[in-house]
Parts: sequence; structure tokens; C-alpha cells
Amino acid sequence: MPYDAEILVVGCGNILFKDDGFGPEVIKALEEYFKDKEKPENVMFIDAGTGGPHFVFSLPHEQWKKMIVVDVVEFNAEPGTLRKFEVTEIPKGSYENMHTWPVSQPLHELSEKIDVVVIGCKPEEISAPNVEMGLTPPVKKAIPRAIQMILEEIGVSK
Amino acid sequence: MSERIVISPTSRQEGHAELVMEVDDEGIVTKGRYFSITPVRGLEKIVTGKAPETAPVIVQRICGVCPIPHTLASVEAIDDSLDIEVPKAGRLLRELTLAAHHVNSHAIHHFLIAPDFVPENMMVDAINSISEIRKNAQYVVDMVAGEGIHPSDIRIGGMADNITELARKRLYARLKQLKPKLNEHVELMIGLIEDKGLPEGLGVHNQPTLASHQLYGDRTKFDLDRFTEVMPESWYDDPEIAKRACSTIPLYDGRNVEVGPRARMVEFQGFKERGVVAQHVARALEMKTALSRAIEILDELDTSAPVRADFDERGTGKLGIGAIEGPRGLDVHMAKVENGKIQFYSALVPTTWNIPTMGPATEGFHHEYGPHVIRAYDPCLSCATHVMVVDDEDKSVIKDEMVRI
Repeated sequence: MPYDAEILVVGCGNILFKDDGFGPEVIKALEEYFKDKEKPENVMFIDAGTGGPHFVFSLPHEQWKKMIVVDVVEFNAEPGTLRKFEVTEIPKGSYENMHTWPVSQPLHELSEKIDVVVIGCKPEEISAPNVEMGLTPPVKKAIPRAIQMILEEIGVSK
Repeated sequence: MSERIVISPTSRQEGHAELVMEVDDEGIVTKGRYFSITPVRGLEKIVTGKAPETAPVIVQRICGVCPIPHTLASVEAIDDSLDIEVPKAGRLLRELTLAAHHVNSHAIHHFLIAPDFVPENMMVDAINSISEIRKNAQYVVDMVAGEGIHPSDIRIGGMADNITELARKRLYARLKQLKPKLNEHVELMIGLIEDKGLPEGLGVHNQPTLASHQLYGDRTKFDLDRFTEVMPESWYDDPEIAKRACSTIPLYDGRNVEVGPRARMVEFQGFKERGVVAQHVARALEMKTALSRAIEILDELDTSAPVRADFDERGTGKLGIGAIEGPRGLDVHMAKVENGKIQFYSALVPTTWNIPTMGPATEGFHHEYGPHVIRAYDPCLSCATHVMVVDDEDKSVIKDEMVRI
């Protein structure tokens, strides 16, 4: 499916490893939220799983204007704390494309062309390499607030 | 004057293996040895020490040919180790997934043996019919288990979700519609196989058959006390082959066995035939059995019932057994869970059982029939490899005493 919208909300992470599934879970919750509401036409929600750098960030479309990445970010705060990050604040290597393409930091590169923000949630536990599904309570609790932040970003007023 | 015919790797099967046949002046096989030369994957070691839920996710990636049996055997083994009682609807959905997978996998095998049996002018029709059947079967796996290749919704304790009533009705209608097409395909294949004129008695052997259930699998019918395992070096009488063979030799009551569709029909439906043609016929007939069972399950499934039991994942160190009848035969996974982690994991997989039986089954006929005998078992070697070379200098493999059951 072509990602041909002006604004993209991209949930990144691996649902097999506890809080790393935050991004995809937020996308699921967003779709649920808009089930009985009018979703703005120029917006697309994408559950990118672990394929964000390779399948989304490095394949830009003409019509893209803004991308909102939703993911867990390690920063100094309580688990479940949300914060908006600029791409420049994200440590190098966070969104590496390890599929041997020339672009190794596709999100950093993309942010030079379009508006990119990251809605980051501080994780409590990422269980890799142990498969343990489901978010920890503080991170699960952060979902409604994350949705509010995303709505503000895409210009949908409450 | 005996000669040696080597086919390496054997073709139109899954994975890499070698068939070595000693033949006399007439070209008749006097001694057949078949063994795996697929590199080891080591998945059992990867999952050891990890959380229980890791095992099904990892071991289903043992191979893309039969991920469903491995996923099911894995969750069944862990269910058993944790003493979980899977709710009825969850059991039915698991069974439905496997039934659909049987249909798909046997259809793939018909594709692999088509050049042996299907005349040129019928090839296109046969392949179209195979594709049509596979598409429908995979659609069921996809809808019920979350994904066609590596199903994500088969979980410890049952299934992730029940299907919706709408999905149940759709799948039921779809499979009902497939039934006449599948029956026609099965009749066609059986007809072509029987008319091929393969020599009477080809592939007949006197080894016992082993099966735990007609279609799904039953851990109570697999007795660990009757199972032993020997290293290839004490099985193959040719030291060179013994060194290169990389699967262990599993025995039941001390004998090598045959597992798979014919074994299941012998054990559960009073099937008496033996040999290559019988194996193909049994496999084709099993497609019908599997489709009927899938339709039956969709008819009786309660889509509002719970499909997953809650469980305590800490475990007691009990050895859990998961016995699943894969398309190619009995697939047994064993797992011990203690302190919330997998402490021991072992997979005893379908083709491993057949490997020691397959070589000798080529004996007594012209070596040109060797590949026919091998393909009748639908061998799949990828998950069978359990021995690895330690010393690259002299190619010696791990010692007998290191193999733990």
C-alpha cells in the first residue's frame, strides 16, 4: 500500500518485547479512537513494526509534509513519561537501516526535507531477547496522552 | 563388481540430503544409505534460558515449509510443562490451523512430484489446481492463526483470539466450495500415480509405522520410554558417511520407523498398503480427511468461547511433551520450564524418523527408481539436523555420550 498522505503517523517497535511494542500499540489505539469519528483525509496511520527505517523512512513520497514517529525513547524520566523530540535529539543509530542501503540514517536524512517529530515514551522494560508480549502498566497508561499529543500534531482539536 | 551411485543433493525435496546407492552389474541397488547434509540451525540452544513465549516464535522459524507443526508442537510442549488446560475452542482453532496446513503442504508435494507423474499436456491444469487449493488452505491459516507462514496467534495456553462469526461463516463457505475441486484433484493425482507403472513392491520395507493421531497429534500416544536415539557414526556402516551425516537416528522400540501420511492411515484407518505408490495415495487421501475435518470444526466452533487459558509461567521443571502430526509425520518437541525460563528444549522432527528407513527402502530395485522412493517420503531436512562438526581438521562430530535425551 502506498503511503501517499501528507501527514504520516508511524508507530515503530517490536511487539514481542514488552514496552518496545508501544508504537504499534498507539497506532492500534488511534485507529480505535477514529472508529466513530471523522479522520482527516490527509493523514495516514502506519504500524511499521521493526521495518520503519527500511520500508517507510527511506522511501519518501512527493506528497509527504510531516511525519510523526511514535516509539520508546530512553531519556532521564519516570517510565511512561512522554516527550516530543526533534530528530536531532535522537541518538544516532536509533533508526539505522541495517539493510545495506546507502542511507544509514534515513530518519535524519528525511528530517532535512520534511517536518519530522518523534513522540517518545520512556520504557520501563524491554524484554529482548525474551519474547514477553504486552506493555508494562506505566507505559500502557501513557497511550491516551500520546493520542492527545498526536492529535495536536495533526491539527485535530479536541 | 559393485558400483556406487551418489545423488547429492537429492532434488525436488526440501533441504539438502545425499543418497548413496551400491549397485550390482544389473544396476540393482544392493545397499542404500540416505542422510542429511543440511547445516545445523541450533534453535534449541537459542531458546534455552529464555522466556517461554520465546520458543514458539523462534522455533517456528526453523523452516518455512512446516512452521505450523513446529509452532504447535512448541506450545503443546510448554502447555504440558506448565500444566495448562487449553480451552476447547482454542484446541479446535489449533486443530483447524493444522488441518488447513496439511492440505497446503500435501499440495506442495504434488507440485514437487508432478514431473514424475503428470504428463506434459496436463501439467498446466495440475499446477493451477494445486495453486487454487493452496491459496484457499493458506487463507484459512492466515485468518485463523494470524499469518500464513509464521503464525503469530498460536500462543501458549491456546490462541491469541477467537475468530469472528463472520469469519467463521466465510471460511466455512469457502472450504465447502473447495471440496469438489479438491476431490477432483485427489482423484486425478491418485489415478496418475497408479497408472505410472512403477514396479510392484517398490519402496516396500518391513519397518513399523509410528503415528500418534489421525491428523492432529496426541502426546499420550508417544511413549518416551520406548524412544532411543543413536549417533550417525554407530548407525551408518560407512565411516565417511557417518562423519558427514548430520542428523541423529531416532528409534522406537529399538527400531527405525516410518512416519507420515501412510503411517497415520495404517495406525488409525486400517490401511494395509506399503511402498511408494501407497505412500502417495495415503498422502493424497489425507488431503480429503484434513479438509473434511476443517469443515467439521468450522461448523461446530463457538466463536464467542474463550480460546486461551491464563497461566503461571514460572513452571516447575516438569518435562512437557508436544506431539503433533505434521504433514511429513510425528513432530515431538520437549520443553522444561522453571523459574520463568526454558531450561531444556529438544525437537524430534518428522523426517528425522524417516531418514534411516528411506535409504534401505531403495534396495532391490534399479537405482533409477531411487529418487522415486526418496520423494515418496516428502522429505524435509531443514529441521532434522542435530549434529555438528566440531573439529574442522578431522571432521569429527560430537561424541555419543554428549547426546542427551
